[in-house]
Amino acid sequence: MRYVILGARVIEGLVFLVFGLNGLLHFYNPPLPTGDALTWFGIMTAHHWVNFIAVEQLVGGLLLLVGRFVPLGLVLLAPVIVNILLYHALLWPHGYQLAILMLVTEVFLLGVYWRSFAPLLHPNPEAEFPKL
Amino acid sequence: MKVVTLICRILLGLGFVLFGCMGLFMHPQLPPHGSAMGDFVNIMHDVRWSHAVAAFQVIGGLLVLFGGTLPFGLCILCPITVNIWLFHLLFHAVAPSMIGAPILVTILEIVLLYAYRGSFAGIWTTKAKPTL
Repeated sequence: MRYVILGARVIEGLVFLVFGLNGLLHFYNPPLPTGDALTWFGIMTAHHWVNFIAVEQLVGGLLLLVGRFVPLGLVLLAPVIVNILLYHALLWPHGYQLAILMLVTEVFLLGVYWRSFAPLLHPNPEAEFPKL
Repeated sequence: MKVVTLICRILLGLGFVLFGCMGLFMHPQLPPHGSAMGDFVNIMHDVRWSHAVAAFQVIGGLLVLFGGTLPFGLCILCPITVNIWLFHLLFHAVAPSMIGAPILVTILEIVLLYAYRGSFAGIWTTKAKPTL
């Protein structure tokens, strides 16, 4: 099972590392969508929104690969995956398989690292303040 | 200090529930096509992406309002806030009347993230171990 966890980490980490680097360096240009999706993507690119997403993917992917701060990496990548899924569901279905794979690895890793996230769902969280 | 966190929770939760319900059930006055921001907003609205965001706002707001689920609610609302900021900064929609709400929401979230930092400690550790 250790190797399944390692495999999930390496797959998700590598995919986001490569996509993040590509978003900044453009060594591979995937075929562009058409219609609304193309307009939308053009605006996101022209206003540098994609650069921010690429940096987040790069950092999240690196954290998963390095193996320190794995929960932090998962937290960074979770909203990115939600938006990738929304993009494929609402604008451009082509290439959704990779997004599904990312969802599966993310959910699996959230599951095995559940101890880190359990306090988020503690039934009675305490607010703490420094003594003034 | 308990009162401060309570006020922050109610303001943040109610605010997002209200904005989310407006996004879900009201017909907003969209900016005209032609500018990058106008095209972007219209596409997001046409394909119902903005409805998905609004639904997440309602869910996150309710989780913040209810007692035990505040940290999980913050996990949903913080990425939304990041994207709200990106939208305003990248499309230069930074008139004071436009960014008052994001500034307030950000302050409330930072206070709550700090007050409930115990719940988020598991994410920041370098020594997270997977369990099965």
